[in-house]
Amino acid sequence: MNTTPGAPADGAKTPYFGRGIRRQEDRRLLLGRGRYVADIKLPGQAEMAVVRSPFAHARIRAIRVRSARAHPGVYCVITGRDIAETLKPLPALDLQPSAKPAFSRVLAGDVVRYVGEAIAAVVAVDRYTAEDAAELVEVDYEPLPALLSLEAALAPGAIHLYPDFGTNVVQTFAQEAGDVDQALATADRVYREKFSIHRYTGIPMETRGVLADADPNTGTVTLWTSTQFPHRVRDCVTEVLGWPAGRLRVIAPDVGGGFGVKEAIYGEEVLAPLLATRLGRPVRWIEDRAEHFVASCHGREQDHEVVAAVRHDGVITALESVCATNIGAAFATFSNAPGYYVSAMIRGPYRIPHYRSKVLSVVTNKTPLNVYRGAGHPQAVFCMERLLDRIADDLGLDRAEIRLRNMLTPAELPADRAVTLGARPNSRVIYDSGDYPRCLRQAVALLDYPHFRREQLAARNAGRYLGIGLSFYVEATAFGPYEFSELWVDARGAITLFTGSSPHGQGTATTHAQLVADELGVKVDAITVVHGDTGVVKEGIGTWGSRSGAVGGTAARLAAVKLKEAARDLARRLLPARDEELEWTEGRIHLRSDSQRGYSLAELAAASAGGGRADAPSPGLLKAEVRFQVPGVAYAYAAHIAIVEVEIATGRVLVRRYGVAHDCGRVINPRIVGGQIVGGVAQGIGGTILEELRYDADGRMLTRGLMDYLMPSAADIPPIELVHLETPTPHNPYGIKGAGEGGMTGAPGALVGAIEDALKPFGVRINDDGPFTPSRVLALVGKAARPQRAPKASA
Amino acid sequence: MSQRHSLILEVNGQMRNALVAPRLLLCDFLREDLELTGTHVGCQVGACGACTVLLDGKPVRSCLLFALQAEGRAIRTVEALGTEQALHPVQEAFEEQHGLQCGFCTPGILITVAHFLESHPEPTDEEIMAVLAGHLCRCTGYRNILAAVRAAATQIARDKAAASPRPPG
Amino acid sequence: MKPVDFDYAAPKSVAEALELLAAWRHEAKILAGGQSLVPLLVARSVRPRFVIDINRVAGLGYIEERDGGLAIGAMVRQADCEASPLVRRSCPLLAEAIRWVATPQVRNRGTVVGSLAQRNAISQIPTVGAAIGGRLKIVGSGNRMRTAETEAFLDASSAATLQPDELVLECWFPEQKPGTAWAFVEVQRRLAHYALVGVAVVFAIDPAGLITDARVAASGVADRPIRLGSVEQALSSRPATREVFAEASRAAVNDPLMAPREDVHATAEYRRAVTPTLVERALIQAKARLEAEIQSGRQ
Repeated sequence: MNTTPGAPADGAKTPYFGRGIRRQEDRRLLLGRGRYVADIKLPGQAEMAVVRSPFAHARIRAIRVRSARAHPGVYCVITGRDIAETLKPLPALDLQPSAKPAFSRVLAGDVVRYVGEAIAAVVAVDRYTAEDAAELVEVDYEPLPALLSLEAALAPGAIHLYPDFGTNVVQTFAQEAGDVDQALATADRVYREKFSIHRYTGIPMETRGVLADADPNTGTVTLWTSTQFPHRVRDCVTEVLGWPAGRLRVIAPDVGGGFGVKEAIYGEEVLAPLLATRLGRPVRWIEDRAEHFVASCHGREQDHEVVAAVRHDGVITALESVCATNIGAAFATFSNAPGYYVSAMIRGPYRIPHYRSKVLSVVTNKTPLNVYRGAGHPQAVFCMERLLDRIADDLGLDRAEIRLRNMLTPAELPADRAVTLGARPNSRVIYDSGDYPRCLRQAVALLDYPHFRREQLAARNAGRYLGIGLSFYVEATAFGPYEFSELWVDARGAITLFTGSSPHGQGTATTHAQLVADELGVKVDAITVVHGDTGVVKEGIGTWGSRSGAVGGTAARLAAVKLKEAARDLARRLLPARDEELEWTEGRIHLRSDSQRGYSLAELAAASAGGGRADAPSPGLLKAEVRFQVPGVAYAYAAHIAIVEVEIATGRVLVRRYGVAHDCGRVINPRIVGGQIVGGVAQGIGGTILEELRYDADGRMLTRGLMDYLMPSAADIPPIELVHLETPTPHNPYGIKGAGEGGMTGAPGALVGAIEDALKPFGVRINDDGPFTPSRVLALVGKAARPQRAPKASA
Repeated sequence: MSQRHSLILEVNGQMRNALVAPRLLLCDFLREDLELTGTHVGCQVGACGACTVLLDGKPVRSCLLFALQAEGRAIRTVEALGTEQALHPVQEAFEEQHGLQCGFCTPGILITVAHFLESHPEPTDEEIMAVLAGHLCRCTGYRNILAAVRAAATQIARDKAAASPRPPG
Repeated sequence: MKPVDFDYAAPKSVAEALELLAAWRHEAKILAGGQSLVPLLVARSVRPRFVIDINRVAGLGYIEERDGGLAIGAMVRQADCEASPLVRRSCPLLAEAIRWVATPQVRNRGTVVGSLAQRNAISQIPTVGAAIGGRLKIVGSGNRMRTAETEAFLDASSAATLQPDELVLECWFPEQKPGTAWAFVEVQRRLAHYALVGVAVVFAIDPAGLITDARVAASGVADRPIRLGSVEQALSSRPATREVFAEASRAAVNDPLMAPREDVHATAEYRRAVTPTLVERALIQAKARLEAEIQSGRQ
């Protein structure tokens, strides 16, 4: 096996590994020939609309559907009561055994707990008619008090969303390393800080959507859904329906962005197969943008308390962290994961030998929360980096210097952090490889930090407020448990890779093809990559957690390795020859001594057909499949550095420059990795400066469209300068760590540090991650009295 | 139900006719009735630009027009911008500069940019930003889109220079 | 997000449009550019039974000089107005303000008259109307014509607002005299998004260097764009200096018409606090532009 990614396998001329080649995916997308769920149309197809709760918390007294059912063009109307007996609740896949059963339901039962919760579904000839009929569904509500903030939900005497639980805390997870109490008792200084993280989310440009089609012969159903993990959807949806897993085929066609929002199982994915089967016609549901804001998962919202034991020289000896996540009204598929990542990773690259953590998942009357790009890492990084800035300012230390003093050195790696990644088995955190101090120094050099300080002073004298911020993260990437791939070479030489990766913009077909092409010694465009279809890809884990390049890519290349072994066996028998007499050249295996005597992969595939024998595979295929089981997650890291200008007159925050020095292990395609990082930073800029999911005091969402919820546009994103470090991880043979989330992960910490630095003359201290709207900024500097914050809950 | 109205228009150079309900949005007509699904719908309020098409040569939001308003007009969608064999220079530049990831916002951007470069052969960054402000992309962080627009402008200028008649002699 | 079912006609003449309007009154909606109306329709917060599409009404696409100003027909698109040499010459403030309206793609459909007819508190074109005045030509049932002063029309409490059987045929802006200073500035959270606050200013400088005929209007600080009389007074007959601009701008905060409200984008306090900044910026920019014009005129 060739494990040096820089070198092509067995003599092919130029390796694709490491080259920023064009993407296989692009041409059809550019020509308008993408195929997203909403683009698929089947004969007789009907459309579904969902009736949703306008109340944050209410008892449902009665639902009347007669006039909706009678509306012309309506095929059926169903309510929670119609399916309560037959459907299980939606699964949560990250629970501790002690978790309380705060499960989401496909359609609400007697109580609704957030605005947007599904109550009934209407299927009609088209979406226009379905919406007409949905308005005719009459629901009698008895409104109940709404609980929105963590503070309100945790307050003594608060109402309980689930009265049976006797608490709004539906899960707790705790872990400890070292002796925190002792360290705190003997500390030179103790710092206590509270941090809060606001609610914002991924907002893929394509909303969610599903289409289900039942085969009347077999009863099997095909479900197209805009998801990041079709195999998981198959398993979970059939579980909820009580169907055998083999009855459902799930296809993720082109998916227009995911970011974690589509790493969840949703009720509509259950309703469409159910109703398509009942009606005997295809049923499609395309989420509209107003629905998306209440019916697709949110992200982030947490409150943190940290206590740190610190020496006079700025070295942190112990950290105690308590983090509560506002998970909304019920468990989404991964509501607890952000807390686990906070718990495992808040210490980032810093030594901090004594550590104690407790994370709570708390229910409120908001839309359920799921992972969003980086899961809990961005929140954890934000808190740690703010804490370091606070200590540095207090001790008069430079912000880079305090980080270096606490940072693990290459000699200390691998580093056992003596904690685990929450509920995952075998998930002890052991940082694998890298050089954190070098990475930080490179980032600092990227934006010329010392020079900036002079520039900042000059600008201040001219009434302009510039600031610089630093952040550093270590991020768990390349999650297992495994990824699957299967590789075929047929007698015409066609090469097809079937992968369990399920991309939505990451260019996975290209990077996987690069890896396979190198191994087989063929041209990259000779390889067709098939993904996102449980009907043709036997197994798969999907695309999330910065895993597809590292785990899916490795599985792809290992399948090629395995296929070559099979080809070699065959060649040995056919020639015949001994193993050591053979060598590969550009996809051909031949005698070392006589390159004319040998076979191409296609010839071997044809030969494997056995010359037309009845029991031979037809038309002749070389096949190999691999389940690449990861021995441990990898740890990517980066330093982010941001320069912002705060316009004191208007309160606008403008990001002037941005630098990232990062190490995601070996880079398969630098162009694609660059795209991931820049895109992630842009989302971080959005989350810090523009974006917030806001509720009014009654729990109605105020931001239900793209004019109210502001994503960044082109002018908001400065040039982003990148430095790639490449330290291979030992956890896979090609050293790939993962790059999907890091751009986002480092951004809030760096940006808020920069904003606080810019506002230093005003004595401003910032313990939340924004968004730093003009109103907020003017309130901070005392020019407009009241800060704009979400209205307090009425509980 | 209100009466359906007859609609005749030109789409990508072809005359099309249909009977449509007055409330049918142009984006739905293009996507559902004509099966031109390259035009995407991202927000339904004109904010994201994914649904942008040319109406009588000008970029407009197809989610903010009723199909009947296109009566007698000419629509051009991404499907008519280039072909597999001959990409439009803007498509070419987006491919070369990695100006797209999930591709959902891309068709609308291509329509706007192709039109923009016809009237702005040497655009400034400020002009590019002003026109891109009408489009949201969640994947790329825009920097490669900006690079693609610049690259396309250069390529179009080069193509024009090459196509201009040579001096006699 | 699909509109309720409605019936539709695209009349070819004003008379036909008025007939439909008279027949359907409150249940009808006029569709011109549609860039604000259609989002309301798809949200079903506006639920007409009949939509009267005036895009095909003949003779509403003109921009012409008339009565010492510019008359703009009801179907003139914002983009066409923005690009019109006539508008740039005789009402440059309007052309400048339109550059701030939404996005280029939206301006290709949105109309100048439509923007006024909706009386949106943060819209740019009404802010120009508030600043420099003007009037609207309105026609109602039986071809009853009336003219409304723009400022009165924008005030929801005034009798000048649009009646259910009425259609705005045209808006008219007075010509900006050569030698006047003007500027339009806004603060937005994001390029091409709504204004949090916008300010339009126009003034002249007399031979003695004193400010005359100052008109200052702001959007986003009341239920409609308003004139900031307090600022205008503070500028009147004072020298056009930075100090005067700064001082006069501060008067905006306590202007009696200021009644900003909080929405999801900004607090009321913010809107009040940022207004003087924008007024001052506009005044400085206006004066600088005028000086540059004079300079280039001399060369």
